[in-house]
Amino acid sequence: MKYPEDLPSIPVNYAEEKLFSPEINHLVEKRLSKRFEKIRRDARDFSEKFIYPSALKIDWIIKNEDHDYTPWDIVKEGMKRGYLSFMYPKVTGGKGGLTAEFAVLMEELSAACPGIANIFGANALGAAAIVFSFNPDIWERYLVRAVEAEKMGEPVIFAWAITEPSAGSDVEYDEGLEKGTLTCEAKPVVGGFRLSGRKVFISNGSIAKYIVVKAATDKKRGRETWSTFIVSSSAEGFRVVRTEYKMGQVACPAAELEFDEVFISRRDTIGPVGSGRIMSKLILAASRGPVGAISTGIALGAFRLAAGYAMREDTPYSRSIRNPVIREILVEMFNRIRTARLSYLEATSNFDKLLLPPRSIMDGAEKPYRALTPLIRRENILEKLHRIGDKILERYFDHIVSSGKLDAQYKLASSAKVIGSDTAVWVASRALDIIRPGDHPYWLAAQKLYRDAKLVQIYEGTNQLNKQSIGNFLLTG
Amino acid sequence: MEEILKPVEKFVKKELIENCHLWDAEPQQFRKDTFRQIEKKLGILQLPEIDKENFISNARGVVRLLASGCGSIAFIYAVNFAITSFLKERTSLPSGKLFISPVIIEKDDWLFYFKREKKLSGKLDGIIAGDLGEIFFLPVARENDERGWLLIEGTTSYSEENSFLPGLRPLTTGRINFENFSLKDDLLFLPQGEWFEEFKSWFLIYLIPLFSGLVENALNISENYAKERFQGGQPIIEIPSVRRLLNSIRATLATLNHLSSYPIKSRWIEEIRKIYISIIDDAEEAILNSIQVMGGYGYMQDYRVERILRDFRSIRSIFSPLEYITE
Repeated sequence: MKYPEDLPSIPVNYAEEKLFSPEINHLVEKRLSKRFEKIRRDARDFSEKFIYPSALKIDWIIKNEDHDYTPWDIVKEGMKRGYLSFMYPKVTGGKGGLTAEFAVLMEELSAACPGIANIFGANALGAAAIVFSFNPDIWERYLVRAVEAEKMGEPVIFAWAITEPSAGSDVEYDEGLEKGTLTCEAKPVVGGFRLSGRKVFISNGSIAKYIVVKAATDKKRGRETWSTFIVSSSAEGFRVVRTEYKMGQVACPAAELEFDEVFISRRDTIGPVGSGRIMSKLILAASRGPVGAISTGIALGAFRLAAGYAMREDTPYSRSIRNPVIREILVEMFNRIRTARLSYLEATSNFDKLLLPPRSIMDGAEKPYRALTPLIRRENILEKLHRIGDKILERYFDHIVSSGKLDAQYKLASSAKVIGSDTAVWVASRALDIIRPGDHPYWLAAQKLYRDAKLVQIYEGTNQLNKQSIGNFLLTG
Repeated sequence: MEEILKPVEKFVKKELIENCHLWDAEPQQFRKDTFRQIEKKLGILQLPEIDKENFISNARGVVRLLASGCGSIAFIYAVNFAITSFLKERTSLPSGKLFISPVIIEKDDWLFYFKREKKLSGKLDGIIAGDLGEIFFLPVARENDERGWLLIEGTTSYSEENSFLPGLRPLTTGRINFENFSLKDDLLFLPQGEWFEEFKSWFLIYLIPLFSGLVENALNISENYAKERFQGGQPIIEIPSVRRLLNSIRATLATLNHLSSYPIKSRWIEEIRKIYISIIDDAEEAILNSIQVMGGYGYMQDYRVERILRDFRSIRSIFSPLEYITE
């Protein structure tokens, strides 16, 4: 069976704008909302040019013809627009985007194809620990080089490896780390560590150049020794075991990775040994908001398909916008999307405000940093800066933990993730009720989004785990 | 009833579950005669003759059992039973034949029926398992624009289209062609009328046990996983949120099982629609929850529970509850 080449592109109908003017204007300060709108417009342009025309075909190819296919042409087009380096600080040559801005980008790309969007999303997740290292040594050796490679047309992909075969959501929270059956261990050796073990379901795992790996340096004391390491995919002892056969989001590969005595130099360690717990929590507090945005995007994509289909003249009455029941269902779909959008905007904006240095400082640092670059890039200076960076990170972690800012943000982000992902599944399911099977390309696109949707209830900690971790705060005095 | 169900149960456990997994990954392994071999072994199509009085309850039991192993095979029989249950009150039916009709029945496609010449012409798209069908119940339009549905026996040409369903593999979806097709004398023509609502409702009678079987299969897989999967030194079935999910699936299964033997009395058409609308979200939630219990593994094809969701969602889309709510 071959892909029907005559299948039209996924139709796009921004029907939500008929129901609601862009609400972000009312939500946040005007300067931000202008940036949001610029990002949204660019993402729509990108989706219309590159994602909508090929998303169904890519899904088909990976499911039926070439399991390991990666849409590099689209990744490269996104790279040109700065989607890979979106979150990298400006001093490294990145776009210096805020979490909320990235979330808006993710929402719009996911409305077209969450699998393709997630290549950029998982890349940002992979690079997050490097960005949050606030370590010039690490920034120079990874982010600056990645941006330079991008300028040469070469995408450099990052991945974050946390889940282990026998410890799924466990490793994403403190109690789980205490009880979890860890398999990965980075044993201290002269000059660094030797990492052994396996990680599973790693988004971008098979296409990443660098993998940020969470591992204990003593697996019997997982909680105390949980740390963060950077591993190159060309490192000796690293192997991609397999890429998974998933129900959806197939454009973004999920891989099982094996580390067999992989040597990691001390300078490829992010933060001091044992700081991995706080780093994980910080990353999840940042990334669960954008996962809420990916989810919102899936729901939005399904809504656009359902509304676009219902608005057609030749749609049967039982599924048409002429039918008041259908109008009601569409409004309910959109109401849920609004709630999900507000939740992730709240969570991500909160992260930017509470946990990131003010944008004025980050942007202001760009010029002096660039002036000092030749000096910074000297090996001995970088080494010193690495140690200073670790100290800064330690103090930063102490601050966000003791002030309660990290916990506050963690709750918000987890909540946005749960609200968004439940919305994605519910709305995608209703879209499939409205669109008649076989009415292409609406139907094909909607059933794809439904398959894609289920994953967001699972990754970044299952929704149950997210609810537990929020609920645990009720127990605190 | 047990005599009928026991061999089916044995077949499901010993052969169907494994084969269904294979057919989902490699549909080409399901050859044209595979269905006939299954039928030869089980003789399910003979059910109307074996025990006329209890045919419907037996058929529902068979569909439920088959669905607990393979949604697609259960679907073929559910469609067949729906058509035969409806038609057997109206005409005598040939025995042991597989009945197929378009299941997306609101489509405005009609074949041309030349009554005097006893000929049929035209094509119908989107016919699920059209290659397996032996007798078709199809919408036709006569020369005088009289419309209705005709029972057609015989071979037709079938061309497979790209399957548009996320599930129900290895069943194919295709176009059945009738070019100058000669009809036999004694088959039924039903002019368009109120009977159509009854016909549609017969599908729901068999879909509820089908959903019951799917949920049972999903529960079995996720429950076994939860018992065997250890996290933090204990099986995850000990984790309260996992237990809660499993209990919720069990509750839905109990309801579906009860409804699968719902007696068909007067006003049943109205009632079965209400039942269908009220249970369908719970059934979907139960299967989604089975995946949720298994976390990332549930989303991967190897663990066999995501297939159940794809099968369920394909069927729900074909028989969209909106069709029944908005009427």
